[in-house]
Amino acid sequence: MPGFIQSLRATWRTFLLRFALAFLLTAVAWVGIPGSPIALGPAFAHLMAALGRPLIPAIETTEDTTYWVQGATIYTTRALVDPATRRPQRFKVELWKGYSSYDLILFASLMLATPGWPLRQRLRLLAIGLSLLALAEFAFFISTVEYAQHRSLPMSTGTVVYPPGYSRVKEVVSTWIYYFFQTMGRGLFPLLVYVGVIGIAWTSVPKQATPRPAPSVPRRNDPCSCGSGKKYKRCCGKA
Amino acid sequence: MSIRSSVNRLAARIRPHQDIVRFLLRFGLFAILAFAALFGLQDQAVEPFTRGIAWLTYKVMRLFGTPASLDGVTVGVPNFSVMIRNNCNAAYEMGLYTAATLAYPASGLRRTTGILIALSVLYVVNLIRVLSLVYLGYLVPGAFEAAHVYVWQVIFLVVVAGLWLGWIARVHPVA
Repeated sequence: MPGFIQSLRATWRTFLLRFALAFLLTAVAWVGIPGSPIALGPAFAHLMAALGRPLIPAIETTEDTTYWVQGATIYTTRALVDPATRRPQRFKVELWKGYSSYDLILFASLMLATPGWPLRQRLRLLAIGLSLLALAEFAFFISTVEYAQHRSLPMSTGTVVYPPGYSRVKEVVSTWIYYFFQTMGRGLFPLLVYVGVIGIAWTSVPKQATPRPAPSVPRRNDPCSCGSGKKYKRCCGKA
Repeated sequence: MSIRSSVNRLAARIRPHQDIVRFLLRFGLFAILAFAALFGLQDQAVEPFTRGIAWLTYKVMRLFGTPASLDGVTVGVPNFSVMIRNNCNAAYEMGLYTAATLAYPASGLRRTTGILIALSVLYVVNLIRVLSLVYLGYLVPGAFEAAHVYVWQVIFLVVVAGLWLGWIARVHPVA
């Protein structure tokens, strides 16, 4: 870390300028230019939904629940019976918002702004870091699937309706996990990965060999370095 | 045998980076503990702290002659209101900074001084964030969402990282 800080101390103005520019570019790439269909946010939401498809049936306890992607948001429609009216109702719940995933943008901007890395190394570290953050986002998405099952829904009585047989322990654990990702995780994961990347990249730099002191040449009237006891000019320095 | 050799290979790869790996593990652990403390004390500590920020925002706005109103953690202006919740009260970012500082090797005094100074700075920066967002929603409502979700969240985390790196530079000055 101290090596990184030393490098940053000399270039912090450039770093901030590059960070602002990189943040602008990555945010535009994530959200997309208005009117243009090309944006990374919705593509990432589709990736999350595709990866979650095989796992969701193992988590979901309410029958007839559907999941779909709209823009960069993953929604679910849950069919629950209102305890007051005893009528089945369908609720559309916002599950995971891709546009709120600023952690990926933050990390990418920091990586692009960090000074002193060749392009190839920078891209390699960026790919590793983004993969780790995508995994964290996926874990967050899966935790929202669990959390959504006991989330307060606008029933006529205003109370929470649990799926049949939903355990209290599961509710408490999933609530804590969900809020960890929602509050602490958004900042923790990008900083953890970034500090890890810079820490590893900076300790991987081979230490420069300490230069050997130049061999001292004796002056003409100094004793000769060969140990003969004669003056240098009369011994080895004669030629 | 193959598992053991894989573990040995992994250990050999980690060994040159053991300081940073140790730091990351400690940082993650302290962050989980900070989250547990904050989430567990939501009603007792975080909610009153958030009310304090809302009250201060309201007072500053009134001082500047803005017709602001206050209702618990909600600061309102004509046709617009902002409810200050977790992630807008800086509590978890403060927890994150504290976790990073506690995870880094330094003396107790340096850690305490670093945490106290940084938390004060983060409190002031957060007040500026809330004030700017309320005024933005009041004057340019269309820009509120982008400023709220992207710009300020990212700036705030950069401030957290900057304060922490600045503290390390003080703790271990580099020639």
